[in-house]
Amino acid sequence: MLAVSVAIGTSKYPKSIECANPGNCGTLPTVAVENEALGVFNNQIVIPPKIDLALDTVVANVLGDVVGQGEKHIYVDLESQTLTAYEGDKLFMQTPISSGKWGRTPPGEYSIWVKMRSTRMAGGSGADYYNLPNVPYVMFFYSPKVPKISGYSLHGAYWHNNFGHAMSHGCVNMRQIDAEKIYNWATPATTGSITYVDKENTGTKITIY
Amino acid sequence: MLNTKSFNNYLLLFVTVVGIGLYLLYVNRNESVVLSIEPEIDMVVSTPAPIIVSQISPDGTHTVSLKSEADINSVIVNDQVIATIPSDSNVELSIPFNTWSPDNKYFFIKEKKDDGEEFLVMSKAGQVFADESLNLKVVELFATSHPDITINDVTGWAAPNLLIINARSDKESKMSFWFEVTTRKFIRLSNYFY
Repeated sequence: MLAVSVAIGTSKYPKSIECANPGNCGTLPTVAVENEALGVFNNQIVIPPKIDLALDTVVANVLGDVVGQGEKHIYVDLESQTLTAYEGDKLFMQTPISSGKWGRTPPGEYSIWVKMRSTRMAGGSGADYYNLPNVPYVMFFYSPKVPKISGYSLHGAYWHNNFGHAMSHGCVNMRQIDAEKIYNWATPATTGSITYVDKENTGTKITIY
Repeated sequence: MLNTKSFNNYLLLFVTVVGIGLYLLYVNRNESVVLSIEPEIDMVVSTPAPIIVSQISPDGTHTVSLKSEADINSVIVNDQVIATIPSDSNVELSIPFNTWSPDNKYFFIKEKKDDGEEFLVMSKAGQVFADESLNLKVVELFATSHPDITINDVTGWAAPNLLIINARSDKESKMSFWFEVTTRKFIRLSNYFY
């Protein structure tokens, strides 16, 4: 019952659960492309990147390609503010990120459950208010302790460039080029603008520590 | 007693040995002469190859490069030289990872000197700022309004126009400011970005 009521956007969101984007709390994320909208961050107007889903090339993950065979795993080091991605024992990527400053990024073991090409994220208040359309290359993750409705994700960030330092409200921010690369590499293998996991198309594991 | 025939034989042998010896000396002398002749080699002084460092913008659409040569450093944006900085053996220039502003209008270069660091903000197209300067010197500007505070580092951009500055003073070990590029104002923050 709780899951159903949350899905239809009621206010029965448990307050004990942390939420990455308070403005989206209580609802499951949806794909949104808003090319005419402007964003707000740190009291500044920001112009989001234009997204044309028709021009996007869906990069299907072929088993064993890119780096090599082996399980894919993403590690996020909160102390060094670094993301490292492996495929088996082969390094796929290592890059600075920005985790939670105004809201913590909870350490733990997670799995990606849905990937979205673009969505809107909002939260904060006063000088900390933010409202950001066209957040690109979003990979939502969850665990038994951090449910899907918490809204934590890896994603591209176009509103700041201070990677290597905590900047977010809980999510793991990446440069857009890094987010795109990880998005096209991580599972579930991309099938469109939104891709859910299923029995055959499972999600990449993420360790945050 | 040595007869004439024997004498002639010995003489012939002697002459032959001497002749061979002289021949060998002659050959060796020539060889040594040959070996002592060194061909002249033109000395070519090669100039060191320029050192080039680059940083791509977070959206992948722009690249800023620093080409360091003996006398000059060239600042290059997308293959176009937008500025030059004279080389100085006491100054080390670098391009930080977070150099680009989120909207790709500005970038900053780090200058490491013997007596401290400077951070130069430049526009993508090399346009001058309101005071006709090609770059904004963050440490120099900050010192005029905050003489008792020392900048530790400039780490990146909080927003399209806001550079993040971490600093310290005798009274506070950690403090952060924003430097607003358009107004050249420093905004003290209630929290810090360390």
